[in-house]
Amino acid sequence: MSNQRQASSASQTPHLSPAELSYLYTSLSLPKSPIRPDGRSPTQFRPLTAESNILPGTNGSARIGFADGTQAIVGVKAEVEKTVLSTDTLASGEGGESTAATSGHGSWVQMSIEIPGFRDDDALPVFLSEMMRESLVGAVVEGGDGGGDVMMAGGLKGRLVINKRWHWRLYIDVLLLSQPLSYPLPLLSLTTHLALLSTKLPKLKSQGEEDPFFDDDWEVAEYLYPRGSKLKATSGLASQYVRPPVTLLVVSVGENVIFDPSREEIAVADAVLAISVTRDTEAGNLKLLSIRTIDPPSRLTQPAVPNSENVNMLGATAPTEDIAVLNPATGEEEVPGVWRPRRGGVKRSVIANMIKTVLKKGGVGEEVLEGLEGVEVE
Amino acid sequence: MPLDTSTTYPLTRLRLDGRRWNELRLLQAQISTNPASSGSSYLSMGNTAIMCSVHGPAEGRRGEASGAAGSAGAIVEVDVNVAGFASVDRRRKAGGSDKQSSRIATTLRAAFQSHLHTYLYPHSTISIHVSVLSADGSLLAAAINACTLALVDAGIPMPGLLTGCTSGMSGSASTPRDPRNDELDPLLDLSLPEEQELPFLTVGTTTCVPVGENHMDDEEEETKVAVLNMDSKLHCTYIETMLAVGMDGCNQIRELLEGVIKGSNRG
Amino acid sequence: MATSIPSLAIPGQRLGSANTYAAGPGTHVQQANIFASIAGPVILDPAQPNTQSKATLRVSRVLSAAAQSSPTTASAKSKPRYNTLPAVDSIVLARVTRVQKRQAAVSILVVLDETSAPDADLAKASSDNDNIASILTSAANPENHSSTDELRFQAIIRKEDVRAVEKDRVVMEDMFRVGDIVRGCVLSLGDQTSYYLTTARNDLGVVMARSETGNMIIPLPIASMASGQYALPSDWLEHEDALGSSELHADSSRAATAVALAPNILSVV
Repeated sequence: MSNQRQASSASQTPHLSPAELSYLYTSLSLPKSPIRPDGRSPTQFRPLTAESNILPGTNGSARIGFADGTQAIVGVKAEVEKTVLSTDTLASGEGGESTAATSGHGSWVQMSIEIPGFRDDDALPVFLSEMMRESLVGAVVEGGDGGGDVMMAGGLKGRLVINKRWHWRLYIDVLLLSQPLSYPLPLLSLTTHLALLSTKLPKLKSQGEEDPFFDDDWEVAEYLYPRGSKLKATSGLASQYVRPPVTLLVVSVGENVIFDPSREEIAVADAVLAISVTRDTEAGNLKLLSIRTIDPPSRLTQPAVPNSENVNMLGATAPTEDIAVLNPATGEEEVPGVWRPRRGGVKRSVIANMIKTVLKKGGVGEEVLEGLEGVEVE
Repeated sequence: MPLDTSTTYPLTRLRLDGRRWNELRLLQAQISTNPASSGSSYLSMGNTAIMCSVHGPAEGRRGEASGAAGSAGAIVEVDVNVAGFASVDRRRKAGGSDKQSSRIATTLRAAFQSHLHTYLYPHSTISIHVSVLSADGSLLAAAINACTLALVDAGIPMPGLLTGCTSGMSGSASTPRDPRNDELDPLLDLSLPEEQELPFLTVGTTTCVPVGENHMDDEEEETKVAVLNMDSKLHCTYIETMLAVGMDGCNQIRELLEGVIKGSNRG
Repeated sequence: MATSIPSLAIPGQRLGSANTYAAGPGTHVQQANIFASIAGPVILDPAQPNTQSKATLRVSRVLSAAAQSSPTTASAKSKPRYNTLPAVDSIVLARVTRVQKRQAAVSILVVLDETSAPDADLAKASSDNDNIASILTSAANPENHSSTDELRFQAIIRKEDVRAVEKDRVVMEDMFRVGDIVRGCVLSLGDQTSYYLTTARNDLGVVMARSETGNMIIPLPIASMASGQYALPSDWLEHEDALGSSELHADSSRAATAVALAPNILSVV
């Protein structure tokens, strides 16, 4: 029970003293130029190692290792399955059948997450997998008239349709190799993204409504997410391809927005957001899929006692008055240098700033997507 | 031509994947693959790929591992997880672990609990986490080897390297062995199709022999069988051959693992 | 040295005969031979010249460090520390967390390095005592510890382990109070939850405490006992910062477990 609570409130909090927490908070909340413990800039990510197509026995696979040593492996398997129409779509007649058969169904994508120390049906793995599956199947492309993207009409769900009677079923298995040190969502999301990018389906040889049969040659297999040819990439159209969503972890400390937070940084954050974005085909812009707030662990920390209220320090220090000042980000009165647990709640402008930094052109979201694309090319 | 070993082997003396009877599959291994654990390893034998990470020796959780067992030495915990994408068809688990992985876990726990110098770490727990990424036969043997590497990486004292290997017979071997007309060959390091049709056993051995170039007394060699596991039916006259072949395979694997450990030490 | 020693050991590798060498950390002895238990470079510690002991063979845990081509003879002064876990007979500093009729619960703050000589230990202790205020506000201030206490090793001082004499007259409430810093010796690794400590030695006992009013009390040096202040066994002073005056501590029997530290402790006050 306590284990679960810790994990869901974003990670085993590092055991930091109130003084350390206060120091971290102060340096991270310096206006305009936060000082991070590892000297990164606010939008800089820690180095990570990534490789894809590591398992020959899967349709697509990837491994990502984060700087803190946590690693995840994702394998994607696809199976052909007969489309079974539910009774109510049958009842609604010919029209209903065709929509179900062309637009696909969300349940065709199955996701399971295994985290050491958790059972399959524990809250955290179930919650995480549903959260990621949702954004995967939810990312429907409207129109789908963007050049080579006819295949992606209807998003991932539509891509899985073979014909009216058959469809692909996608199993995404996520394996976390060690106990999560921080909230595992970004790691899992990036690895899943990479695995899906490398996923190939065998080339269909049958046509129309025949029972499907496939080309044996794995060389001619097609990517699940179509990739731009070299020609298109040079002409700058590569960004028009649909990509699986990625989820980024963003924290705010004071008025600063910080990406790829380390465990210590999460521990003092005012707000922790998991922001899912995907690439919109229409304009090549990023599209916001979902935002989730994650319970910041700083809520559970112990408050510090100002010298003025500390019996033990009576007379031990010079009688300087501690002056409470208003924290501009949270609107609470605080004594500088004395840790107060964050009670949640940040200003709307801070949240808006977080989202803007992810979404804007040339912003962090684009940078991450491009970086992941690069893994595959090599 | 039917693709199974028992019909093609007598004709070609080659197995399905082109190996001879006494050949191991390609063994590749790495240690210190996961910096977040005390020790970790990656090992592949043919298409069987396993990652293993060791945590500890660490303070055991309260309540469990209590009493006499805890004070005598460290408790070894093994957790085996066969990934859903490991085999050819995606296997769906009905919440929790299945029979195969829990059997492997039990065998590994028993083997390493008695093998390691656990008496040095009373009141503590050594937990081993095995992830099977790709399953193509000899799972238990590969898991033993991966665990050994990860435990060496974690610096947990042991009397010697514990290595595992499978061996089988190239036929059903249900009748007594006929010395004049002996057409069955023992096979080393079985792959999944071979495991499914042929009788096989898994053997794990450890040794305290002087290894490498520092031989002092060659005749003092002393190999101990630490793990022996067999699920298939076979006439007892064949057992000895299979065991000998398997132990020979263990020695070959031990030399390979020593190379891996030395290689990563130099690097 | 009849046989060569391998530079790099692998578990199960024979390193030498137990007649020639002594087995150090990372090795085990089987059938009069020394075998490596862990992988790593082999280090030969030369025998102490004045003793009859043999040279010690050990295997180092430093895996990635450049493995020397020949067995290194490392100097004994850079002895690697294997862990900081309390072992039987190690001296620890612990803080009292609970006092019961039959036992006191403490949490171990520091495991003292047993290799350092006792006099060096004392010097270190006195230098640490120089900033008593900071130690007391950090270590003995109960407010700081509510969250970190459970991370430390828990230990128990049983009533009969408090002192060597008059064991049956011990009253735990008079010996310890929550927040006191105790210097103790590990008796046994105990049960699943806690170590067992003893203070039944002259150099062990409460080394730092506060009075009920929150002021520091410090043990008086032995010298002052001799000079006529023998009203109380081995005395404690309550130190008033504001006044700068000293008064005798009220519950004097607490001092039975107290240690008279280095004489320079008074000069600090």
